[in-house]
Amino acid sequence: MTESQKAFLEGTKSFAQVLPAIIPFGLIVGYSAVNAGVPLTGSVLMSFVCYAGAAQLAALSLMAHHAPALAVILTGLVINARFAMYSASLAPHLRGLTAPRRALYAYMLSDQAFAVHAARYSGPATDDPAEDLRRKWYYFGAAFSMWATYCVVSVIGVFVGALVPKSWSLDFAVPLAFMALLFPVLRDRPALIAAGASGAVALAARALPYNLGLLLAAFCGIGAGVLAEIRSKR
Amino acid sequence: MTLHNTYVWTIFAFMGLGTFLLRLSFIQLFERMTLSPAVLRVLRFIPPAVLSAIIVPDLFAPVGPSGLPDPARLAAAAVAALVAVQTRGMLSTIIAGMAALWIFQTFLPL
Repeated sequence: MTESQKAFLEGTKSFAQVLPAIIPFGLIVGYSAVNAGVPLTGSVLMSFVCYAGAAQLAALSLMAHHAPALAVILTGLVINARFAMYSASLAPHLRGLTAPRRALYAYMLSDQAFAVHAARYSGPATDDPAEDLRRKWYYFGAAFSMWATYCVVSVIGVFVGALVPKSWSLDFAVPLAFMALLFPVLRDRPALIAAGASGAVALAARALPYNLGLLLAAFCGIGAGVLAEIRSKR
Repeated sequence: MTLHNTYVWTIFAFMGLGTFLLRLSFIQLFERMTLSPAVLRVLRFIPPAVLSAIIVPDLFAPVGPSGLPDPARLAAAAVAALVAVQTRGMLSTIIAGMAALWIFQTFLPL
């Protein structure tokens, strides 16, 4: 086995630790697409085209209420703005890739791939070319296995989700999945304030047209978090 | 209540393209640049703010003619929140929340 293959497999193994969280989430995304009324082809292909976990769920819940396309797209992109942050943090490690590979690695960037890579290589990029190549393959191993798992599982969700009786209230799994994503990021007071302010505004503004309440609440929450952090540093 | 294909694919195409560009942004454009701390400070509040804005109205929205939130869902969400804080696992949070919901739906007088 070459060094590159070894590094790829190591990335896959590191990803396996977060696997139990991906399966229910992917199933729920597939199920939610069907439930929102997305036609079968769209439900099957959505994860491949968008590949955006939480943003897909948020978009689907807006689509189920027939929100305008522009509002759905903007909501999805606001949720995905964090990928720009990951992109900036990964950029020094992914320098020197060919253009197609760069596009592929970017397309497969996910919370999990970023987290798995950052957990091992959070420091500056290496100057040693062999080590640099190993790290790139490690990232690709994690990113690819996450992508493959998520897409396959969400397709399964499209077909299996429809078989589940309504009385099981499986739709409730969606806010639960979001809660599982929310609590780990509430690491300090400013983050708590951001979440609290955003939740309060979202509840008060839920009657706004075009589901603008979500965007308004997100901006208020981000503002409140930034203010709280500035105050706490004085 | 099937959604129209034009509507669905307009959203998927723009969301997919936009998300790809967000992911590619810094990898492609600023090979040696890193984000300023001020920008990072704003970006780190996006996940808590957005997630909370999705969850809260979902849980507290009034249901039916009473104008009150569904007590079984609220109670189940509280159980799930405790589990989420303790375990930080998605699977355990979903299982605990769903089990709690089924129990409360069965036994809470409504």
